Amino acid sequence: MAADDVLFLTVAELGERIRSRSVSPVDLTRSYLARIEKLDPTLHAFVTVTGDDALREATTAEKEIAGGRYRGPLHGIPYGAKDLLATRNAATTWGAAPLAAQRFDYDATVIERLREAGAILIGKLAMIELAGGLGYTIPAASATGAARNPWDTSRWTCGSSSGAGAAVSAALVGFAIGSETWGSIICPSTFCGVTGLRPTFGRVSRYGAMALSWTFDKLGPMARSAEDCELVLRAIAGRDPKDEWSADEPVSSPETPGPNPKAMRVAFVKPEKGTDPRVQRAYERALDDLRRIGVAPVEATLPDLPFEPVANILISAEAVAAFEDLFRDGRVRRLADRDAPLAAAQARAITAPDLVKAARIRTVCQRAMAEFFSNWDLLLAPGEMMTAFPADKSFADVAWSDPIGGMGNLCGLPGIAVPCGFGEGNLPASLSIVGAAFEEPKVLALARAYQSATDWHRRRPPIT
Amino acid sequence: MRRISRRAVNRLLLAAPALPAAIAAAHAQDAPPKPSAFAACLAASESGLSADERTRLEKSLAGLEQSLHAIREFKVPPDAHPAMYFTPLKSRRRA
Repeated sequence: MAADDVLFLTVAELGERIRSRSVSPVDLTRSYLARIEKLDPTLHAFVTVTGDDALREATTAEKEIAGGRYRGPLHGIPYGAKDLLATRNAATTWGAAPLAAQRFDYDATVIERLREAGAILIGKLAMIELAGGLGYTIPAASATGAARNPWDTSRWTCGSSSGAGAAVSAALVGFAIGSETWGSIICPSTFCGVTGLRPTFGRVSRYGAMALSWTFDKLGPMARSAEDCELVLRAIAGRDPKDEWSADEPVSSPETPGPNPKAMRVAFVKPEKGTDPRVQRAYERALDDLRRIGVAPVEATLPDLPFEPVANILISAEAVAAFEDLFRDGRVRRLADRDAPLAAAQARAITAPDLVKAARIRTVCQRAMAEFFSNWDLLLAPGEMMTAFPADKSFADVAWSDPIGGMGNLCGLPGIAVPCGFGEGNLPASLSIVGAAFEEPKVLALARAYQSATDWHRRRPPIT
Repeated sequence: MRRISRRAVNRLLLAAPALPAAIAAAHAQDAPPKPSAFAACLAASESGLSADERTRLEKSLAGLEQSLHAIREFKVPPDAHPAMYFTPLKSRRRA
């Protein structure tokens, strides 16, 4: 069995050990399965553990590598997928009790691409029901209850990629695939102290993924470093004929050097009033760390546009349309959050002209941000203004925000959360880096440079 | 134009129906938004809801109307097309 030190290694490090055959994919898979068995009863990170299939895939990987057929850095690495990704081998519950038995007879494109890269699916990860599409006001709005934060199990992981945050943070997997409509990768990555990449809208095929909002949904990696996110992104990105909104934009290749962060024009926004003072200090220290490595962030302000209201209206309308069947047959009443049944009635207040106008304002917002990013390469902000809050708390009692998440998701822009220290409760805080559409190479280059100069992403939660 | 406060973004994050309540809460320091007559009518006429649900719906609609107000008041330049996707679908039939 692999030691905990091995389980906490990054994908890049594990991949090198697997390639050189100093770590066995079968041993590694067994070790992660044993850790899941030990810790998941506390963390509630998994919906389904596919141990037998994972061990079978690990055995195949081991034979292939021994036979000289090494597929690349993900070969033999166990990972978890948010339970909104269709897989043939297990139920796909979308985190919702009324869909506990839902099955698909195909695999999502992301699952297929990771299999081609040799990664090993070890289980389906817990999530907020329907990824929060019909709203939720409590962390327990999930068929598996509130996922617990490995840094303090009385605290929540954030959502909706709750299980992904907990599983990566506690080293139950090598990496995870999460999804973001608005905040669902950045927030759990921040609260759980892991590195999470929200790719540009269309960068990653959504075929086989639950649709919450066709014009906002994105799939992306959550891992223990920016380098790992880049490795996973390379495997899952690219045009897919099964998702007509997937983009045919080139992804960085390992052979070509990435952009030089020192040559980038980097803007930052000031933390807003109400930010946890320790989170603010962590953010300011991160800016200083960047200055020390030759990056010179300059304060900037975002265009004054209604990013949040427009995102709110568009997502609300799309989500109610996406889950129409649950309203029609009454299954919405079996969801955990008591306000979910109200979502359809609420959306009826949005008129057709409102919806079209919101979509027109979205164009205005996109143009304004494209102009913004013609002057700047990247934009920095605190990932969240606060740290993880108690898992039994209603959101009504919590002041919580992601300072540039509304803008980033409305405009479909890539962003990454990288751990940058600790805030209230000695819980993780993050630095958020956002770039122009399809500029993941710049986002990742700065994140990697920051992580090469700091060790926050190497810190481990106290859970053992 | 009035921006929504950080506190409002709170429940904007992932919780669509909770968003309006969050926006309403954010504006509470100035003046608590009251449901419009339309919101009250919609909440009252929705079938299959309990009295408590009607009250919660009415409150959340008050918040949603803050977002709608921001959209309705915004002046859109004439060249801003809706950011929706449409493309003619080619037939597979060949000439």
